[in-house]
Amino acid sequence: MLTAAVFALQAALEPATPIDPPAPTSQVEILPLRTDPVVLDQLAGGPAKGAWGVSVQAGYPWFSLRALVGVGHRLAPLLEVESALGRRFSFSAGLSLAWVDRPHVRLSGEVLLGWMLQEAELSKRGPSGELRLRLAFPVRWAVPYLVLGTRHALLPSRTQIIREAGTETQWSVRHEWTPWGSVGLGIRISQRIGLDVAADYGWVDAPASVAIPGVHLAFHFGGGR
Amino acid sequence: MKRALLALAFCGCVNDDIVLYETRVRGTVTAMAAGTLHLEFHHETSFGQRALAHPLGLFERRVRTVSQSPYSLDETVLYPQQKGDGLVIYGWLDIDGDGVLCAPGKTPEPAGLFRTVGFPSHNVNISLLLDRQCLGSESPGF
Repeated sequence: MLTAAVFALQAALEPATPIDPPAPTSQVEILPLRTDPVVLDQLAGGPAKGAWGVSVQAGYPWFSLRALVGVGHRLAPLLEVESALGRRFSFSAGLSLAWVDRPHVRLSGEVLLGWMLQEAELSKRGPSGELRLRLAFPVRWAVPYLVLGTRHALLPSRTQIIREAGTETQWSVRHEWTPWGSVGLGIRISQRIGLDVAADYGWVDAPASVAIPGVHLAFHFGGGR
Repeated sequence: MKRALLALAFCGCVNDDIVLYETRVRGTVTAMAAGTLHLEFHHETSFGQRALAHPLGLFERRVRTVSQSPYSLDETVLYPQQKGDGLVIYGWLDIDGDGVLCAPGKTPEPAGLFRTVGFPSHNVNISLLLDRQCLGSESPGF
């Protein structure tokens, strides 16, 4: 009787026959995608899909408002309004595309088309276009950057010659070239807010004119990142 | 509506809108000598209106060789309509060939000025008499 009880206890205490461990179930770990700060996207162009940003710039003599939204493949439509001291305005729409997008380097190109209007002593108006390169080297909170551009405006003029036999109208177009360069430093305050300060050199109507350098301070904000 | 939009777009892109009035100026230039005739075509008044108008306003310059007097003149000029009013033709005769009107120590040279009447007109007849010595176009002597 006692022997039977001991065997029963021993059997109860012995570990059960090992069972095969359950097959591992597949797990998906959701990690946040790398997102770029708005100041980088605005200064270097080519934001990721869904990322948008707006830049408000004030300075001497250039003021501007610039908006981008990424649509994928580092391509972004953009809108830009620019003014020089409220006397010269340009309204442009274009595309921004990042060609190089590495953790510490971004290079993008932009093409813009629009309209230029200058009022004051020397009024000018006509269609305009610009090709622009943007290069930035983001390091932690800092985004040093360089912008090089070539702007072109076509200024049409009309001459009417009133002859005895009738009026003859002649059209002519003058080309205005504005090479552009900016070098500055962007500062990331958060992913959605940033600042930048830069020196600008926009040589309007080069080489026939003389231009002095300018400076600007810009505020960048955005979302979708 | 469509026409208004077209006009707006048209006007919005024109920079310089220049209106030139073609005028044929014919007539004679009389001088007591031979030489190089320097002709100037001016607005009678420019830059302003009435009492504030600026007298004269050069818009065309021509040079002709004169070997006999009277010299028969036939010039077609394009008159900038928006720059002023009236038409004045001034001329002087370069006798010594130095290109300068009456430099000190040089021969006195004759000049004259003709104010057209009834301008604008596509055909203007003038009789320009160079009978004043060394007077510029702006001279009160005219």
